[in-house]
Amino acid sequence: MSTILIVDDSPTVLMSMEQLLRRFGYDVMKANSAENAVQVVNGATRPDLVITDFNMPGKNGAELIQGLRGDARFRFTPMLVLTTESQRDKRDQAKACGATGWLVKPADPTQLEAVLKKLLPRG
Amino acid sequence: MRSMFRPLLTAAIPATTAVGCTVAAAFAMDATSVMLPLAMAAGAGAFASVLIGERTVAWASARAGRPDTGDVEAVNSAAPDIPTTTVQSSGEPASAVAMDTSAAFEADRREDRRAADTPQALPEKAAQLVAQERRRPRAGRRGEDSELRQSTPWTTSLPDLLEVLVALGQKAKEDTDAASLGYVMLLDEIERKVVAVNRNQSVSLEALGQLDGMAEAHEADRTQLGASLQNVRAVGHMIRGEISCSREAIAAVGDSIGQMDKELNTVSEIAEKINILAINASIEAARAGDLGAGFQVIAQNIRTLANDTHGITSRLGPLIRKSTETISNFGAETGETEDASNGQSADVLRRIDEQADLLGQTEQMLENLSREYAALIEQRRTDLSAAINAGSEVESTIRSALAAAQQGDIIRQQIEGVIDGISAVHDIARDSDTAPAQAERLREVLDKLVNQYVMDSQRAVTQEVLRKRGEADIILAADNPEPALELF
Repeated sequence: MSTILIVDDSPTVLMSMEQLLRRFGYDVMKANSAENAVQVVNGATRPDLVITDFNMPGKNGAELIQGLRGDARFRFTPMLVLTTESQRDKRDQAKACGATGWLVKPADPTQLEAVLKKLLPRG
Repeated sequence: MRSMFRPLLTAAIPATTAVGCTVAAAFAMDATSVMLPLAMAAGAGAFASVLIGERTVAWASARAGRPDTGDVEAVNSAAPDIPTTTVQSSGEPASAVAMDTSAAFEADRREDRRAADTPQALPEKAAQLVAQERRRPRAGRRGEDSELRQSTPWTTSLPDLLEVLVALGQKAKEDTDAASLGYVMLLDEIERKVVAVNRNQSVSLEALGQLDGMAEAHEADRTQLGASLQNVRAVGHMIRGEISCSREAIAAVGDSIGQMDKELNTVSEIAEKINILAINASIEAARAGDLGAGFQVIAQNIRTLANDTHGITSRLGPLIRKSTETISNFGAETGETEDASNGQSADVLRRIDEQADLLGQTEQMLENLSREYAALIEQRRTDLSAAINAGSEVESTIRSALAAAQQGDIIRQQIEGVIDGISAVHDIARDSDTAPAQAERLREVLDKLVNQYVMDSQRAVTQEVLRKRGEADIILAADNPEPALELF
């Protein structure tokens, strides 16, 4: 079973996404900031996919992704941005930092599940 | 973009003077409106930079609950060059007007609209007011001339009001967070119950599967029983056949022995006649004298042979009779036995038939039971499948609801935008002590707010407001929004 790390400063999003992802059949790790996410990925379990908010106190989602891409362990890990941010330039920034995709909140569960299946074919 | 808003804000100042308080009050009722920070920014800017006497009086009196003309005069004397005609020209006492603040504001707004209808009116009026403001002594600066500062409610009350609004916004944000989280937790609880019900139904389905197995085993038993029944019937048939064969064999042996007895009697009669012939031959040989001596020997041997034959037949006779008697006796016994046997066999056969009938009935009952089991299982399976399908639909709905819970985060961010806007105006009202300085900073508020927007909906609302105010060329929101999902 694949493990997904969800990063968001909103407890509501963290909890709702955790429940949603568990229903999709994934194990879930949570972090409420980019800095916290770095601590989590250095723990015992390595995530197979990362979903991060864009606008967060401290580092934003793009910066988090950029930092993780610098780590050889996460060079090829799929990383999605899930955000309310709608500016094209922010998308481009995330893409330049190594993001795999961009989803606007609220994420459609069917669409999200399909994307995850595509990125994590092992389930 | 910043420069784009400057003329707009300058022109909007008099038009939005009265709207500010109305909007501020509205915000307290609906803190989620994204339009409010914009309106607040523009409205509050007007409060801070344009001190029109009659409005100040109305607001100050209403707020203090002391709508007396003394306050009117005190305030007006603090800003003697600001026109104070509206209230008095209405023909009503100032106190009566001051009691109905919103009515006064509405009247002012209408007046402002009328003034704004004249193309040159707005910039002219704005320039006039700014000039009046510049002519006023630099009173009310931080740490300086606190007398005037305290005497102008816009500089003393507005920061308090805005601070309250910020606190209300924060409260609304926290409540939104708490409500969203509670909503998600409730969904989790519902989901757990649905999962439990589904699990029970799955267990029931598994049990039905076991019942299916039992029904199949039951059917196999029934089939085996049917086969046993056939065997029992075959055995009965075979027993009947064997009994019949035994009787026929005994009768055949008896017949053969009887035939042998007849043949033996014939042999004995022949031997008797040969003996008589031999006697006669001996008599004739004796008459012939010496010539018949040889013939005499032959006749004697023939008599011996006849006697031997007679002796054999005599010995066989009793044996055959004994055999006949034995067979007869056996036949008689067989006859008796047959009767008994027939009775016993009939009894056995009857029992076999009874067992066969019983087995047949049992088989039929089992067949009926199997059919009823199958019907019941199928019905239960249909019910459970329907329930599981319903559970799946509920699960799907819950998933959608979980995704929709993210809407709480969206609202929270919108409220944060409102709070940021009010906070910015609050800082200006608190820190800037001159109208031009306030106006300058207020001009920056909207630009800053727009730059902080994260959602197209915020930009669309702002754009709509600005367009209503005549800035049709302003483009904040994209005509073609970016897709909600994009894989790079």
